[in-house]
Amino acid sequence: MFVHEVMLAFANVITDPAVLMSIVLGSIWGILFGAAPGLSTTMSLSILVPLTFGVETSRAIGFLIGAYFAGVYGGSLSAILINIPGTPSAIMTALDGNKMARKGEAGQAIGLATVASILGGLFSLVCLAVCAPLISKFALTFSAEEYVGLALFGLSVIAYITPGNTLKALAAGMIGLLIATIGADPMTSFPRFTFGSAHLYGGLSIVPVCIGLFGLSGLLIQLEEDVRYTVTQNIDRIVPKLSDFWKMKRCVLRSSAIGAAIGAIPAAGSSIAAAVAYAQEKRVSRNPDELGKGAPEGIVAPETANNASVGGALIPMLTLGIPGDPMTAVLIGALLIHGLRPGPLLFKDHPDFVALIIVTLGIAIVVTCILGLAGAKVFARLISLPKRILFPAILVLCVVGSYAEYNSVFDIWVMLVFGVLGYAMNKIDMPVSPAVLGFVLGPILEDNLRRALMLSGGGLSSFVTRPVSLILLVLTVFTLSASWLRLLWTNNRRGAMPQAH
Amino acid sequence: MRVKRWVQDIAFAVFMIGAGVFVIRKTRSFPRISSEAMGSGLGPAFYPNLVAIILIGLSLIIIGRAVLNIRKKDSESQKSSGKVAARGDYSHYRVPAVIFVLLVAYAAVIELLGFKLSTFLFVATSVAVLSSADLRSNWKSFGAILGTAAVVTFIVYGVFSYVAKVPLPVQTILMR
Repeated sequence: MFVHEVMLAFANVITDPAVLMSIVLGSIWGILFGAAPGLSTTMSLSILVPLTFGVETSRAIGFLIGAYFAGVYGGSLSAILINIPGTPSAIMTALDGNKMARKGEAGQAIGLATVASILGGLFSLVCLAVCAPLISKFALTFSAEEYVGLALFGLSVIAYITPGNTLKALAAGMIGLLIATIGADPMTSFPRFTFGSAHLYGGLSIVPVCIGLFGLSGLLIQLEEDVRYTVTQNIDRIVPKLSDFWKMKRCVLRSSAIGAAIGAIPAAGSSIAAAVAYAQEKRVSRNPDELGKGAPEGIVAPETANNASVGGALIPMLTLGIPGDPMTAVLIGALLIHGLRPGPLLFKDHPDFVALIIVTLGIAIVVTCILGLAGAKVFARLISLPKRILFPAILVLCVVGSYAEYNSVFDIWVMLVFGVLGYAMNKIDMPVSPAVLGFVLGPILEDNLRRALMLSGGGLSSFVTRPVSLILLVLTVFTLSASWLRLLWTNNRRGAMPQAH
Repeated sequence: MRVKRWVQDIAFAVFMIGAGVFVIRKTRSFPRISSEAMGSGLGPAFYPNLVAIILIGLSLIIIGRAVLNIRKKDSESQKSSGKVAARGDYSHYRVPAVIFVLLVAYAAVIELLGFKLSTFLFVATSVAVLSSADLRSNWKSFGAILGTAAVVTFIVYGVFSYVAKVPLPVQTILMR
């Protein structure tokens, strides 16, 4: 039945030039932000969301999905050409990609990264199309307890994925949860922490919060350094040979599976997927010493995995309403603005929109492939665009983007406050992403926790008597204790290291 | 001298404790819900209190860990004192601080001057701040700065007004 919706959505998209154009423009936007050092994909999505307010939902989805997928890919360009990953997910790509570029093989490295990203994306697209309807059907049986378990599991993954900063990541998550309580109480409508302001009664909008935390704070940090990046490499022979990829088919399949699986874990993301795929490739490689010295597998593994995580991250977002990473947290906000609430009911009430998202992702993958292979030289030049022109323009977009949702200057002030908060958090090595995930998960957690406690008369037994809820709570405890144990182990190793030397 | 990491950690943890205490104090004024009316006595204060208590607990652990590591980190910082001295100045904060002040001014006047004029002024001053002193003193570059400001203002106005259909602020000061 869902196949019918997908076919219909494909026919609609392919015959609508405006939607196709929005996917192309979104992809260009994503590659530009992904490739520019210091400008993240989350930042690009946060700034892009307000631009989609006035456009039709299918076009808005085209812009956003295009920017999301292409942004994750775009990070590889600067990682290869200037050894500075444009996005955190391209950190592993820089290890081998830049070595290849220094050997005069920049074009080949970009070609490998592009095709690997596309293959990973296609794999995750199939996973999304197959798994999402099944999970959403299963999720329809979820009650409040399961949603509490999911939200807690998402928050515990935050702690696990920030080694060394587990406590700060959890604290940042709590800050996000607290910020989400601003506004009317969901059950009694009592105004909480509004200080008498009508602007705060409806709660803070995700757009200015994300633009502040990701956009403004990131730009302020970049402004501390007066660096201009220049690309000196000759980029040629970009299109890779099919035989090269056939040799790496196992690497592609393995990394795709890792990427899609990690992407589907709430709160994990593309950077973790890339790191795990790279580590796995090093473990199984016949020549592990070659990785890190310019080996093609060192580019293919992380690039396949980070783009495979895109489709993976969309699975919990669409089926459960739980963000797979900070970027999907912003996407949830964007869909809400367009009147679509991600979750199991989305499949039931709006299967056409779910199909549209899947089809749009598929087309965005093809568009990114064409743009990546044909436009690599142009994008490489844009990496060298001076900050003095680029940054003021992006700052204007931050201001106008915050203003645009409600035509309210108040939201500009909200963006500025969160920009300072994000900047301060960055300065003390406190990750910003958990705060945004906490902000998105906050209403889900509060609403379901209170509902579950009310139905059980204040008792906690229902959380452990329901199997799925129990499994999720056990996973949460396991994830939290694993992060603590890992921290202790690392500290012990650090302590032992000088003696060993 | 550069602020040590443990000082930053403790300062931020104290800030978070302050925020947590503020939330708990503020929720005291929230209405209590009778369990007969809602099935349970969990009112609007329950969840913020719970999160605030966890935040305070985490902050106390951060402080405890920072205090336990003070001696270790001090010895580390003594070893790298050369590095600290080299990074001791705050000059790298100057540009972000100036740009932030410009942003605050931009937000303050955007409704007064309207989008076009305020954006033009903001972009022109920001480009000037981010340009080197040589470029600023050059008349050709001065023209380029104004040109950049005009182009950025024109493009952003066009995209938001005509594509996104967002009604941007119009100037009101001359209308009075």
